[in-house]
Amino acid sequence: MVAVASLKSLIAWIWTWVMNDWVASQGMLVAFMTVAAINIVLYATTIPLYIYGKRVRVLIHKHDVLAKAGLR
Amino acid sequence: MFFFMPETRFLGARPVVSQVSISHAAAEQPQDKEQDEMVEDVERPKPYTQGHLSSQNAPTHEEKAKRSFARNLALWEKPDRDASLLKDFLRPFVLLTYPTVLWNCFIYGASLGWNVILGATVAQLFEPQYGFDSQAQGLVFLAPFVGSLAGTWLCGPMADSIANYYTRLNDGVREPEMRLPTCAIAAALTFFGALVAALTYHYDTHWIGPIFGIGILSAGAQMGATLSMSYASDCHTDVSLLFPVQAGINC
Repeated sequence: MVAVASLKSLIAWIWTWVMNDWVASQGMLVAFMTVAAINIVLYATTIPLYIYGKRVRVLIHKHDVLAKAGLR
Repeated sequence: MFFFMPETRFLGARPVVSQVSISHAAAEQPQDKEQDEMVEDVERPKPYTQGHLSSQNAPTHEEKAKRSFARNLALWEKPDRDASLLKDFLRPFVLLTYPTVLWNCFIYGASLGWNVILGATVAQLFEPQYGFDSQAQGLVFLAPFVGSLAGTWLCGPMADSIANYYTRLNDGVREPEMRLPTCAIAAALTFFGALVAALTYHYDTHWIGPIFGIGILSAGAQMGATLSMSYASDCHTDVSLLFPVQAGINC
């Protein structure tokens, strides 16, 4: 969960840095549509995860990286 | 609140959970056979208990007496000697190598990023074109509020009914992947909301246009965040105790 929070904070930081200048220079249409397109690309990664999800989970439990790192 | 929340941590031997054999779906494809064999070989992970992972090997000595409510409210407790702070610190970085957790991070970040974008740009957008003073700009955020409520309903009962439909197709075996088709609705709502907001703003319509778009956008973003987090928790129930705790802190 710390991993999720750190990545979320990273994305939030990038947006606050970039967004105001971007909207001022290129307008709301371009900025919002680009961010929406990035969102669609990220959601498109759901499709392989839906197809291969069970195999991924089986592999995770089989190799158990957390135990190999001694952190379990 | 500080003085009246009881301690809920339990240190001690927990009752042994019998290992349930993983049942296979009745209708099996021939090429799934080796995958099912892999599933059989892997044993079900034990629930994550901090520092007491071998509790089912511990001797079942005296039963712990139930503590009174007043004792539970004590201001300090004996520390848990088996919990290693270094391990707890390093564990999230290793968890990032799991594809499911990584996917969760990206979708959650993208969805919550919309809140950040709205917060950063509402003043810049609504002041010159529509002449909103700061009170009106605050009222703009009523739209994300209503949208989030709608999104919460959508990814609650409706997502469950979609998952139930796929479970019926799968002969009653529920997989965490059954939650994922609802992400199609979340993606459509997010994109449609952004499109409506941007187009109505660009062509200088009445101010209800962008606000309506922002509301739809927030519904989609809310769905995305909730669905991704619930999927990751469902996949990794052995470490998923960590997720809801931090979710409350980080919302």
